Amino acid sequence: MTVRDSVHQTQRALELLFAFGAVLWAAAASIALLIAGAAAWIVILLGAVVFLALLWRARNAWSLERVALWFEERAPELRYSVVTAVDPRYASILDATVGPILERTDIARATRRTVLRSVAPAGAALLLAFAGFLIVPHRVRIRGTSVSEHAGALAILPNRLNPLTARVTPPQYARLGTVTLDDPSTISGWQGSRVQLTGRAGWSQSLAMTDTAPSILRLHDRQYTRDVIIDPHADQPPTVTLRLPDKDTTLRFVTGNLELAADITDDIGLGRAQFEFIVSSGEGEGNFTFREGTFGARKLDAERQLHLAVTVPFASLKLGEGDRVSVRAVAWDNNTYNGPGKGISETRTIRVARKSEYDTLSVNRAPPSADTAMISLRMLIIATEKLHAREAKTARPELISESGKLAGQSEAIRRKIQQIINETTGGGQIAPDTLLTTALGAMWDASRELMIASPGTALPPMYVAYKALQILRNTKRYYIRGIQQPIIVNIERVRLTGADTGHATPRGARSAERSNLDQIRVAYAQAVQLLRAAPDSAASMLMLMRAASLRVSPPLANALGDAIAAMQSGKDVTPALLRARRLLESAPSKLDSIPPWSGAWESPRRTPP
Amino acid sequence: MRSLANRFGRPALEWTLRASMLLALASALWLAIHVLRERPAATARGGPTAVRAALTRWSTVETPERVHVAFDSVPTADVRDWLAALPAARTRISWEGAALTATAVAVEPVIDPKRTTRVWLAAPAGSNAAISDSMGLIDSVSARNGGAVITVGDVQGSIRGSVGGTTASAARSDSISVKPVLVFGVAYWETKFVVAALEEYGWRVDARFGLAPSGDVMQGAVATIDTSRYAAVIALDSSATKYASRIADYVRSGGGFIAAGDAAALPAFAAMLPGAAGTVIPEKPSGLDSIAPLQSLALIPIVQLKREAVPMESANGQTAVAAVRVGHGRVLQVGYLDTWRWRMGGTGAEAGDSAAVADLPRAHRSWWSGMVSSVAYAPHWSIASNGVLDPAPLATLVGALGEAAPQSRVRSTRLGNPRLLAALFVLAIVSMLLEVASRRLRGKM
Amino acid sequence: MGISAKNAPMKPFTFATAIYESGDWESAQKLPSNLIDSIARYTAIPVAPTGVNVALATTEIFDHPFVWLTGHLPVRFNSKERENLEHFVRRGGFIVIDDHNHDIDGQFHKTTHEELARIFGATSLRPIPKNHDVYSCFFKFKDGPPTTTQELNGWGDNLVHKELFAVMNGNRIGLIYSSKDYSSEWDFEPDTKRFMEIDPTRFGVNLIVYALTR
Repeated sequence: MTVRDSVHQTQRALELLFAFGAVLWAAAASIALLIAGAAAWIVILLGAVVFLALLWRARNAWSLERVALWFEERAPELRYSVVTAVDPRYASILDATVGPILERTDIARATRRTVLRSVAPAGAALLLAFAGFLIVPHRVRIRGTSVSEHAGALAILPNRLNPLTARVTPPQYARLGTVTLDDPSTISGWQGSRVQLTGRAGWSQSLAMTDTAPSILRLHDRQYTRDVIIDPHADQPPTVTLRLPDKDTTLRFVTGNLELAADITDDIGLGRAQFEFIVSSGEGEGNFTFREGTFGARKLDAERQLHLAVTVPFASLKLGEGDRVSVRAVAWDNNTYNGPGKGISETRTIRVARKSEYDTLSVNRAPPSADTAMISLRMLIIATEKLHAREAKTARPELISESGKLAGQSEAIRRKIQQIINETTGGGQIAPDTLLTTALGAMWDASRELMIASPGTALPPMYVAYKALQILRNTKRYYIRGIQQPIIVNIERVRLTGADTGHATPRGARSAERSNLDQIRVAYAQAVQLLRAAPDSAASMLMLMRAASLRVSPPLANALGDAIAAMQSGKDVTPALLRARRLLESAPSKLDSIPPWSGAWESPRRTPP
Repeated sequence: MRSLANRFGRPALEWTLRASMLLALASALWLAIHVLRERPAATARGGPTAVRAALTRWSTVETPERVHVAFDSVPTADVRDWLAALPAARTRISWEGAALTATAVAVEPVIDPKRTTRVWLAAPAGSNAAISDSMGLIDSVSARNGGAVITVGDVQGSIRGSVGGTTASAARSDSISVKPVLVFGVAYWETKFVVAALEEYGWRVDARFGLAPSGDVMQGAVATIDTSRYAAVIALDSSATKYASRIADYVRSGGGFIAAGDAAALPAFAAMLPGAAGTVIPEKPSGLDSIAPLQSLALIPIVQLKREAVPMESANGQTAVAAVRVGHGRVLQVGYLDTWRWRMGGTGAEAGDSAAVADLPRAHRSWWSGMVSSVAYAPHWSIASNGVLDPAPLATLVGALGEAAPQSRVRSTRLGNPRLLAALFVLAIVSMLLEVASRRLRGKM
Repeated sequence: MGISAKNAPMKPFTFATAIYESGDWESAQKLPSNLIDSIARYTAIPVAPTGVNVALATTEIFDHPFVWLTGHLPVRFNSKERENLEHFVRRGGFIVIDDHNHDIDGQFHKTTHEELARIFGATSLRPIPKNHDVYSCFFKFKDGPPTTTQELNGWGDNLVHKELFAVMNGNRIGLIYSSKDYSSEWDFEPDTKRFMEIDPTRFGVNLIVYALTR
């Protein structure tokens, strides 16, 4: 190997060494910048600058002559022979002479020192930078600012409460599937449901719907908050409608069967159902006895609808004269959380007449109720009164037309009364009740007057018919066992003759009426005032108001929900807030002219004389 | 020989013509200087933006001698005041506003425990008015007979009444101290439910229920009946007769009195009442009408109303409630009997009317409270109101700027006539030409 | 024209007994006249000389804000009776329900409690404390509701029921439930009162005075 080759070899090594060192330093600098939170392009740029700068600093390694001088520096005994030997003009002459000298020189030691001096610090710097990258907290690495000034820094951290997912699992007894709600503002579910909330970055939280009243769940993530309304629904008890018997009955002979039937529905699922009876026997104070029992009990498998029916022989009830049987249908739902809920039907009473009462009481099925006739007659009276009130201002053809329509209704009621008479008299076998005949005759008169367009003269017979039907309804509906003549007290004779003297005590005041909306009203005024200054606070207040109003006033809750949605989407919130205001306050009372009295009120129906 | 006319008349004529010419020139010069020194007139029309822009010009780069503004809506207070300040800067103003609506609003506290507010709005008949406060629209009403009155529960900030393009604003400017009400009646449903209604509404009530010789049921001490203790006194039957003179003194000194039911027919109170008691009209056999419940009740109609009495309510063509001022106080005569039936529902309020019957106690309460408020006495004191208010904007505008005057009636000065200068110039030229012609032709004629 | 206070139509207090479908509502027929007699004896309240019977299922009930309801048999209200009873109490009426059996766990007691729980809520019936206004508004009953001879003689359940129970309407009693059998205690001819050392109907006067004035 010539001297030149040797020097060339060392040159290569030095080039690699300095390049490697430059890389290490550039890497260390880049990592340091990353720790400081610099942007990626800055890191790369500066790294490249450091690398190139260091390469430039080590540029002498790219010159053979300078490397030869490097030899001379480290081995002064060479006396510039290597520098001369690498010169192409003298290389061939001095190679033989200088070559052996060079071989005897310990250049490796110098080279090793150079390596240490170049690479070791760079390597150490790189290790330090890497350690720093691992140890220093992430948040400081994001920006160059300190932790105490993190408001701007943390603002760029995403809100882990958005989006939010809720999975609502109803209670087991309900046998309903899980419902998933995406980004809900209100989570509704059956009481007893479990709710699992999950958000961004995989967090999760579970809670149970235990209350019956709506509540607000406030979620916090650092400086972010989110309110969600939890709206539990109570499981309603079953609805039970007794179909048979369809009315109370009085029997003369206890034979045959008692047919019982009921329709039952539930919002989630039925558990069991049955008919219940109470038999009351006896008469007079202290002589009553009672027996209870059930018919047709059934266990159910969470059906939502059921038609329960059973036939009971009367003989099984062992009824005697004067006995009364009260029957009703009862059902329970499957609510194992806080139930079961119990639904009860109307009660029907079957009475067994005593022989002594046969002459005075109709022991067939109770006459059909005159209720519907009464209600229809009531509506007819109101309509006739209104027509009569405006009779003077109504044109004759129109009066005839409207009065004719009322005459038709009057006729329908008259026919209904006739039907009742037919049914109660067995088609004329027994004399009709005088109240019914009075009502019938009065309705004949009323119909006639209406047919000739005279509503004013039709009213008095209508009043007579109404009164008769009222009395009839009261007396005929109920089983009256020997009502005695009431005792008439001689008020004047006994007035203030009592031996004792009572002393009236002072009266305490009644409490003022409190509406469920009072507190919500106050909060509304505060929320409106905060709308501009602190919209987030206003939104929170509206959310609280919505939760409070869900049960009290669902339309108000809807209006508040619309207002919250408008705020969140940046739309005009005024229409929804006005709707809420109207619902919160009673409608203003208005007078459409300046009244003659400054304190005038809006009367229920103002008609100035 | 020259004629006499030539000797004496012609020179005189020429001198006259010369003088006329000089005079015309001088006048024209003076007029030209005057016109150059005179500032122009200006006009602005339209809405607030156009007027405000015009005002800005007139107050800065232009200095018109007079301005005319045609408003299409009542200007805001600042624009109005700005215009009113222009005459001080030697700019005369005139204005017109054919489309402007005369509106006024006044806010009155109702004497009741719920801080109810009554808003009076004056507006042309048939106009639609909207009432709002700082929270937004309260309600709208179609006015007739000069305006409308709206009674609202709670108001925030100032009240605005808008009719057409005119908005008037006002605020509650006084506060009141609501005192208790005193009720006299025998122990009976009417007394019980009237007292209950007022208490449930929020009134404080002192009462005396006539019960027994050993003593009545009392609530509060009924020692002194005067305006320092009570806002109003209610008598429901003859049990109040022994207090008649004290009640009369109380009313004359400013108190409010309601004689209802049987008390409305008592001779002891007849001198104070608006009218006499007629023959009792029994209640309707069909029972309570849930749509117009009071129409179904038994009634002692009020007849022979005094001239100064005001009928307030009627039932079946008869006056049922009437009011009158007595001294400093006010008296209400209520002819309805057993208004408690309204609260309880009564026969006739069937299921078909369920919506109307659902809140009978509340309706009964509000009605009774309204009647008490209409006569009650309460001391007032002023409270400061915030914000800029303009309760009668058109009136304020007239007060600040004077009566409106259409532009065609605005008189301009004769000196402003541009033809005057031309006429003077013509006069000067003609005079000069005539004089020159006269001189030239003098020797030849 | 005009009428004097003398002939002004001041309507008197009218004692009303509730008619209901399921039971023997008419089982204490002398009680109304007895209490009417007591009202006239001790107070100046205008009172009608006879009572009326009003059906709980009709709107007639609202014409009489004081109602007495009693019976021996199981109480099963129909839907209209239930609805009317609720409206009656909430609008300010006053009803006394008295167990004519003087029982606990008797059928009247059990079924009435079930009906009241259904109408007003399971916890609506609360005991009336001894110092309540109803025990002192006219006659004074320091120990609460007066004991009846039925209780003392051991009729019914052989117990002295120390309390009455109430459904409140605001801070006022709207409904009283009694197991003390005042219906038996007061079901006698009014004239026999003069032979009694202590008039047992005085508490009835308290009930009516409370209803009329509170």
